[in-house]
Amino acid sequence: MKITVELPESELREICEITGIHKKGPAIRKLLSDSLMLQRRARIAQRFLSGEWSAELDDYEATKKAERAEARTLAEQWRD
Amino acid sequence: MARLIETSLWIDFTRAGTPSARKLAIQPWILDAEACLCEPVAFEVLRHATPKERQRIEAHFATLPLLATPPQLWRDATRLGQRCRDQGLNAGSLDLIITTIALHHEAELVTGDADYAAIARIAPFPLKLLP
Repeated sequence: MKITVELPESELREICEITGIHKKGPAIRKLLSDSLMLQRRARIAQRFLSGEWSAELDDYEATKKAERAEARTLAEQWRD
Repeated sequence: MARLIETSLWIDFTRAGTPSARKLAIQPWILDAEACLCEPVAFEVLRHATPKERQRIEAHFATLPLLATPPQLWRDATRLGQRCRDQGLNAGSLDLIITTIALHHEAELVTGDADYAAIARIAPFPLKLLP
């Protein structure tokens, strides 16, 4: 979809500078998509923060501990 | 500078039982504009997620840039592991893989896992260890 938006020249220059994109259209598109991504992230983070969403990820610690123990065991087996 | 948010912080941030103070300490790092993800971190988190949890975490992960997995990852991680071993440190395989990706992209690794500090003492890299 195409829309027309009026922006001051100074803001357009700043948008190009911030995004590192010289072309105005793509620069605005990048700024918007980056901003939208951050807003989406903040909304989801708020759900995890408030407890509305959660993930227990059971067994993470047990798996990590087993992998590190295995690394130690292998190193000991291969010791000179 | 890109900031790679390591697995332990995602685990603490998503668990219902994590104290609010801990979640609040992690939140600014996750919301940082430079925060990013890499495949092994996504792997470590998502492999333990239930179907319902997967959907939510994947939605969250989709909002972060993904640091590409370098083609020479295995060779570089092997060398890093050898350096660690030569110094008497037997680091975990995934710890070495994640550190190698951070090193390749010159990203700061943000973690709550003190094992990464031991690797950083041998192969210095930008590390933010959250207490």
